[in-house]
Amino acid sequence: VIAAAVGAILLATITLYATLGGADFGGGLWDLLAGGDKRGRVPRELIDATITPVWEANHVWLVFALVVFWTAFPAAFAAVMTAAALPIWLAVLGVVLRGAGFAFRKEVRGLTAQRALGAVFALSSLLTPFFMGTVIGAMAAGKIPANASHASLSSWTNATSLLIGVLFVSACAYLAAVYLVGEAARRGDVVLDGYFTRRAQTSGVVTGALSLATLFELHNSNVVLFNRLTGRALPLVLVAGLSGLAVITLLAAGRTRGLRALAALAVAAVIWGWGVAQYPVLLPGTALHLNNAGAPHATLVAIVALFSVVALLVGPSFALLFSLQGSLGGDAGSTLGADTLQSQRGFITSSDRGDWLSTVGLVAVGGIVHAIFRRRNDR
Amino acid sequence: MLGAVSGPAAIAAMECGWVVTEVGRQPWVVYRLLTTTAAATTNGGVLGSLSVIVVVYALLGTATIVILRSLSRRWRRADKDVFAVPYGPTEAAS
Repeated sequence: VIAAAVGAILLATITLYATLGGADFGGGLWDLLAGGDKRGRVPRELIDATITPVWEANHVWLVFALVVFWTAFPAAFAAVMTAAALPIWLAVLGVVLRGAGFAFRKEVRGLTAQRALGAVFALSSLLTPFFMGTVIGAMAAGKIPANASHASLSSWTNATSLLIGVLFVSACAYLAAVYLVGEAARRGDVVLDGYFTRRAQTSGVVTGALSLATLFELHNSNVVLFNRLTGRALPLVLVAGLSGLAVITLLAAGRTRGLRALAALAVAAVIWGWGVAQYPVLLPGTALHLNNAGAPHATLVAIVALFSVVALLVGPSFALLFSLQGSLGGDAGSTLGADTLQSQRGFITSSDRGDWLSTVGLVAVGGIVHAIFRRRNDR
Repeated sequence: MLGAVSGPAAIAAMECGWVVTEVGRQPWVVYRLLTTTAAATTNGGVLGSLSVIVVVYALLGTATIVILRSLSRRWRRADKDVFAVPYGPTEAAS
């Protein structure tokens, strides 16, 4: 039971990282695709202003997920880190270069230097989620051996892994575009609202198609996972699909209320669907599962206790961070300082009803997961 | 004079302390539980990846110092000139 709780904690941190940090990567992607410095200036400014206050905070969850993974399931962690060493190394390099490019770009003078640093930021925003996706793909496709002793190129360059890599990039772009629609609408910027609405719709359709393609590709590479995704995890897969369709419908109708929460819910449902489908196996194709790849019982108890403390401390801090941005931006009038204050706004604002919706949505996902497991145990 | 030296000295002390713990613990990586040899990766390419990391961090370190110096120059001139940098002098003044 305690190992399953730690597994759920791991999934929760991955969900937070995907829905918050993933949107940061997506912002970089739209920066990359915004065109030359004249044409791309306006969308780049909105992207920059929305990422700046939150990007470091959002990437806390990657650190947290990695620490929980290696502390709680060291055997599985070692196998993944050894077999998929290269894509993990490239993803970490991307994280470092991305942060440096983003921070330095604001401080340097001169177009050439800004362009070069902008390119570093935008290109690593593309490569980092791609390589992270190939690692998850290698796990899902069952290509990580339990006692890996060497890096394996084929573990992450097979069709499933590459497809999930592209899916990650696309999902990040989708989340960012939807969040940016909300941000543009909140600022009353009709032009950028339309600009990101088109991009959100396109990337939404592409992400949906890639998700379906991944599902059918899994039928070839890991039929057990496929059967469970269409079996016991089907409710979550349906939640993901319906939320995705609802987002596209809302976008077409030009409505922004609840949009961001629904987009995040779609991504969260996919992650929990994967977790439920794979349970209790950690690395498909091996004998490693939650109960035998784990650290001693005391360590797992410590992690659960630690997570409770983290939730109590970090949760309110994040709420404060997002609400501070909300109130700062709300007070800004047409004074000269308004631009500065506007730039302090984050992706998510507390005044939005979206917060309530996302809470309700996440509780609903939790409820479905709980119900699935209760039914399993009753049998 | 003493104040100017104490900044770098603090960093030197920190780095030296780190070297003492890391070297002093050898051959253990976790004392009496795991040797460094047993903990090392079985993958190749360690020298290559280490070299890239050293180069990347040398470049980032240099860039940080260059940018911090240019920021400090701009802050000193801030009375005459207005710059749109985040957390820059114009914000601090308003």
